[in-house]
Amino acid sequence: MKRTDVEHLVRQMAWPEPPASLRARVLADIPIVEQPIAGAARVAGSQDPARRPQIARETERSGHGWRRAAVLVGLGILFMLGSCTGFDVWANRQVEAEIARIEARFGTLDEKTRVPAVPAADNRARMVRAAAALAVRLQDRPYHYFGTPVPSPVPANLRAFAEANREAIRLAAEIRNRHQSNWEHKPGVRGDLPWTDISILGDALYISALIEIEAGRADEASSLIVSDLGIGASMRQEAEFWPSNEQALLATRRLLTASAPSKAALKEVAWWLNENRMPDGMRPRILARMKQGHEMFARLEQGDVDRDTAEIVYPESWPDWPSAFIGIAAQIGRPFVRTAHLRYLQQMAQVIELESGPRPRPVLPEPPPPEPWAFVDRLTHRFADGAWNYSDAGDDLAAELGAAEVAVALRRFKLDRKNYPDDLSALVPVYLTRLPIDPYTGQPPAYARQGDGFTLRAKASSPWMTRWRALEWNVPK
Amino acid sequence: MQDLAAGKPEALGELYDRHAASLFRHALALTRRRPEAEDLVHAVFVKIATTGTALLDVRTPAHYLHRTLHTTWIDAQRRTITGERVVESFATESRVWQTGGADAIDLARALDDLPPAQREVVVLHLIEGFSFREVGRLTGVSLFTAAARYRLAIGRMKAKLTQASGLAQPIARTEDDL
Repeated sequence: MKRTDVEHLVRQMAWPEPPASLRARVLADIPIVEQPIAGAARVAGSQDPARRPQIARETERSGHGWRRAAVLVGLGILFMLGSCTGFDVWANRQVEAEIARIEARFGTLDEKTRVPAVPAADNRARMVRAAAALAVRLQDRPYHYFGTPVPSPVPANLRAFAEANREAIRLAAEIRNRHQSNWEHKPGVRGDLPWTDISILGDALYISALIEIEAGRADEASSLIVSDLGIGASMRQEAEFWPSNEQALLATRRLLTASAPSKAALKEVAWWLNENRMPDGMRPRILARMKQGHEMFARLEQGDVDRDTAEIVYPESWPDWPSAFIGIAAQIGRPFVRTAHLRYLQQMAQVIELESGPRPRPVLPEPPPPEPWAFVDRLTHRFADGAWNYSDAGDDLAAELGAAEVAVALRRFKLDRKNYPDDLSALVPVYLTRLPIDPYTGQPPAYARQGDGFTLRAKASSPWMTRWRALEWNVPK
Repeated sequence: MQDLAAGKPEALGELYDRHAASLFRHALALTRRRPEAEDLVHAVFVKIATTGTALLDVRTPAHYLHRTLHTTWIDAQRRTITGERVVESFATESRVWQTGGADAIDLARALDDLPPAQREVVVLHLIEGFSFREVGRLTGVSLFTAAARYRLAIGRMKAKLTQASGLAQPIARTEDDL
């Protein structure tokens, strides 16, 4: 016998009907008194719950438990979706408001900072590219590196390095004959700029200048320094990078301390030092970086993640997840991405305000690294990391360049008047249009006559920088 | 139900005609005796006739009536001192279910031997056609408990009938063994 057989038998059982007497008994024994009920036609459940009998409540409760749970879960999901949408809309409005504030103050963020086109024949950058293409790196080292400042006399391997770059140096001399610059850099294109070759070319010019100074050929050395300064000058218009002229300034310091260049040579060096000054300091560079970050964030909010953005957002090599997950995660967590976007814009605007302010500027502490669980702060930090150093780097460059300009002007003053001046104000306006200001003191570099020579001191963001940058000048004669 | 709540006499008759047979079978499943089943059905209608406006909240009258019958029976059980009031008589004439043929006696005995809770589930599910979810709601247990009771009941009846026909068949576990 099967279970279905049992079920079939039970169904086949003849069950008794209630006796007719029961109906009469029910209807007779139960007194029904008609009483109109207000709102009887109203929908069920509209009555006062306190009046319901317990049994009715139990029936309703037991019958709708799962449904109620499902409704609660649904309401919870709706609440979450609503909250996320509200958060997203709020964050978007905050970002838009911040963008409007920044654009009102610093200009549009949509357009990329563009350098005006220049004629190819007058473009310094093209000549730097051409000369850099001929540069040959150090042959006796696994990596092209040597410490600065280079000791005197110049080591033999560095002399060989300078000799190997003779053709590149000769071509770099043509930079002086060009007056405009545009690197024609394509943002976002990797390998567009030959940074390594440019660096090697600068090293070759620096070493060659030191060799010429040792040989007593000061004017030839100044000519090489001018070529090196020309590389830096070719970059001053570019918003995405800044001049790297530390070695040219070190060579200038040794030129003044260890040789006697002519007036004409010094005049040319002074002109090129002035040419290295960035028109607006680091502000265009910080703005360019902010625009780049803003564009990346805007694309990230749409789930569009390119290689550069992926490397910023997720630089870890392990676990090595596909970049596509960043776009998906960014879209799911868009309110948080927008919040990070907002904080990024606020931080960058603060950096620009700081950069645009008077010198010496207040020292603001860099935001501490975010905690591991603070995802929004971590994302902001990934994009804004290092931005706080921009102003320091720019001020270091300005301090160093200002000291070099003053030193060269002092030597030119002495060549004309046989002595160094008692005060730097004597250099204006013949040798300097105005005295350079040390950004860290708000004053010109500290100048003092010492015997037949002079000392010059400029400050930097860090004391140890004076070891390898031309911030302290002790010129003996 | 709204008419009954409004006190219309014909509403009670209409409700009785529609649900009395089903309620009576349910009551028989619980009490196993006609007089007690009649008393139980009578008590159910007395109860709902005196409920008043709360009936407006009732959405499914059949569910409400069976639920009322179940709780009324439980109340009656609690009022008795001896618990389950069963007359241990399995005489053919005392059986409430009418069956035909020689096997009918065994089937009635098998049904009688079931615990009231299991018998109730069998009647409500097989005879009245309620789903296990509805049976669970009517008897105040979960869907799974109702289904388990039914499975045990059918298993025990199957074993009884198999024994009666001379075939060896182990008796299914009781609900307490679960």
